[in-house]
Amino acid sequence: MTLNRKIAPEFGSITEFAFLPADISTTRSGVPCYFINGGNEDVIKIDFIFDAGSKRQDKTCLATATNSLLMEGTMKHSALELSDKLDSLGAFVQNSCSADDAVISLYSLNKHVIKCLELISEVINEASIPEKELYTYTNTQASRLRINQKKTDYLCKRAFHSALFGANHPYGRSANPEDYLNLHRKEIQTFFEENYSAVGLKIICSGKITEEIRRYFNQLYFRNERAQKKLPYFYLNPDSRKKHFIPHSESIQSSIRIGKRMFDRTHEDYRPMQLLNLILGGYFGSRLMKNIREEKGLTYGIFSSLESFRGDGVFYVATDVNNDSRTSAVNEIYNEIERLKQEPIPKKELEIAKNYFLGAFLRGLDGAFLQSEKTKILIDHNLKKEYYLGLFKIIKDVDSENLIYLANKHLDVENFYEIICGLQ
Amino acid sequence: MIHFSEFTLNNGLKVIHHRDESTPLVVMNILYKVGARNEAPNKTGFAHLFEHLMFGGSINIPEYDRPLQLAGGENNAFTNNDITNYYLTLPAQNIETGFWLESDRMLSLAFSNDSLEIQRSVVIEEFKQRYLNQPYGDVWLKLRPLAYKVHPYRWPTIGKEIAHIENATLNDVKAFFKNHYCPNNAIMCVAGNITLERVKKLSEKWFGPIPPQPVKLIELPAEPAQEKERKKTVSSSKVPADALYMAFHSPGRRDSEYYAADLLTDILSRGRSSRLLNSLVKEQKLFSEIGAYITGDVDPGLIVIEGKVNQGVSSKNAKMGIRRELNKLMSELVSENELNKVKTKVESTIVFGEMGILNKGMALCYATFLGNTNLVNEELDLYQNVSSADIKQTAIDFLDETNCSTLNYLTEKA
Repeated sequence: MTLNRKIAPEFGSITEFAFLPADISTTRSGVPCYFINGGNEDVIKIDFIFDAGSKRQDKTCLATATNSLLMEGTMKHSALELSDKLDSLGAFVQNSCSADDAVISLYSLNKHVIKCLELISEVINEASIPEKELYTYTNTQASRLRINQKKTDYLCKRAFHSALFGANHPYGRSANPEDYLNLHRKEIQTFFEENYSAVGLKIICSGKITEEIRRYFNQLYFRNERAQKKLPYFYLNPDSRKKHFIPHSESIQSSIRIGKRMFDRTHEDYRPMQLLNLILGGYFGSRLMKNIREEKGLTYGIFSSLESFRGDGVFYVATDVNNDSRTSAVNEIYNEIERLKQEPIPKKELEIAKNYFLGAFLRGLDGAFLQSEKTKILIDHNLKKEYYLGLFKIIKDVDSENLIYLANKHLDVENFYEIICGLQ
Repeated sequence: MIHFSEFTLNNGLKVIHHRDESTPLVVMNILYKVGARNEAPNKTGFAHLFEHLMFGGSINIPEYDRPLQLAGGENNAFTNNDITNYYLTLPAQNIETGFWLESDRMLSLAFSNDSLEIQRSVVIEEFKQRYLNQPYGDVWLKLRPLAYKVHPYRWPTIGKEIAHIENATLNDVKAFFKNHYCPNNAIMCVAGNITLERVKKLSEKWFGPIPPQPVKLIELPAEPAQEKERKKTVSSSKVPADALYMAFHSPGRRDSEYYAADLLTDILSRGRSSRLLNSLVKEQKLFSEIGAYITGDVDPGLIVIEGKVNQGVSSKNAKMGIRRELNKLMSELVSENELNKVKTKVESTIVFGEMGILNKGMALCYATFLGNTNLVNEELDLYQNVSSADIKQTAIDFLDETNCSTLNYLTEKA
């Protein structure tokens, strides 16, 4: 029988997925630990999640500076001694800080994890924030920021957030180089003492978890002497002007960002909106990619995104195009949104989008480390583990009528902000 | 440790299989032995442009992406100096879709003029977005022709200039396909929740009938030894800080000295305890950030040291700071502790790299390309065997001033 290459092989739809629910225990300091056991390799990832995001700072850059400077020395070890020990154990430590939280992530070989944990708990309990390390840190950050401030996409992004939330809101705020240079050691020390303790700390441990490691966690000690301050109330202060142009005298391309404030993932429409977002600009086969890249060749890339913070969120479309194509790109973005509101999504297109979505969901659960990211989402938003089963079902069931309804309900372009950064 | 099996089809296609039953997925990675090195000097950027065209439909299948997405799959590709690498991931039960799609585009492309026109503009926008519209984005457009005079590594994968991409014709595309895209010039790895038997059956079914093609291999000119330092200064208002890029000709990826050279760059800049950060950023405050790495190209590549110079520091002093650190490596033995530290770091990198099936699939293909699939399991020992004396000798062999090309960005008021 000759092979007929014009006919696609049969394929099946995705009918199940495996989300490993975390096994939870508590350390003697009362810190909840979530264990996700899995994988063939002798490696482990541990996230220490602190309620120490920039929402808690009263000065710009304070939270992120604290999160980074933690690793630069303790009462017992200098920055060099500490990093030398961690490097010698083959560990990787990642620090990240958002408006909502601050995380220290440790990646370690199983055989060295206890030694690494000793060092990380030392950091959490008694970081010393040396003055000379503060200088290096602020100087490096200020220099990086000066580079970013030359980039159209960076300028566009920060103007977008500032317009949506107001420049003093945690989701709207961005730093200037001076903000780093104005930080004082004392403030960082205080921020550290107030916000890095057992209070509000959560730990997620994923990878190959042995009994020995579990036992070690149970006896981990974290300082608990100070109560955290109450979170201040943040007033939204959105810009009344919806369209902003940021001139950039040296740009070859313009960056465009169009969108609005949305909701977080606990909103009932969040999950079906993830599919609508995918169809519009969430994957390579999206309408925006097809239209603006694959049919018109105006850009290297265009995408839309639905981002969830805690209690808030944003939706936007972003791209980079030639300075003289920006008007047509903007028009096409609005055209594509309008089509979602007017025309039902063809059956085949909807099927592709759903299958792609579920395939991506499977890939996002492949391995203990990725599962731990999904667990963090549940913890962040106080969601039950059934959330993902619900997501699976919602994606399978949603139809084109639901999607038209959602597009009309949430993609109200008259309330969209439009930021362009490029040549005047 | 990555377990694998290998076999070769009659048409020359090398196939590697790796089984991992802990995943619901299967990855298919196909490496074509063609990269920017195979381009003519007046038609650069072509291998990468061609990679884009591989998604524009093949002889029997009008669209590549849609059927893959319909089966729940995802794909991408990259081109570098030496290879073009395509990969896809599918739910295990749907992997035959991958065999169908990849074999058809290995058989023949659709060669549509429309696709060429569109991808030409997309790639030109990519050129602008990644190389021209970013501060320091043009570094490889400038550094490569400074470091290489005859070898095709003298241009970056995106191409020397936009005009080369503008001038590409459909005939060029066809000739490129004919010369490089055939089973005997490719390596495929299928990794994940799939048996060897099924991989063999599906490989025979879909790839077996594709005829081999003669591959014209043009001997590339070896880059002659550099005899004195080369320097270039770029003054620009687009960059907010002065920057230094120092590139030294280095061993190639297959050379025995490669491992010592790689560890040498780790000693310089891997981790927060590394030398350049502590000495030049923290203590001497010459740079705001600095890094060192080896390019890992198959033919002799480059050891690159790049740093952003602090305001108020002259590039000359900053460079002298780097020079002092390099001289130390050339004259003093690295301590056992320091050497063990970077070796342990390599060990964790290798183990962490074995975490996902996509990583494993790519690593297996690349090791086969280098000449020994089992390198994925042997390389750790090759790193472990490097001694302090080897590091010193490698530093002497490669970090001499005369072997260096220095690119210096200076800020200019707009």
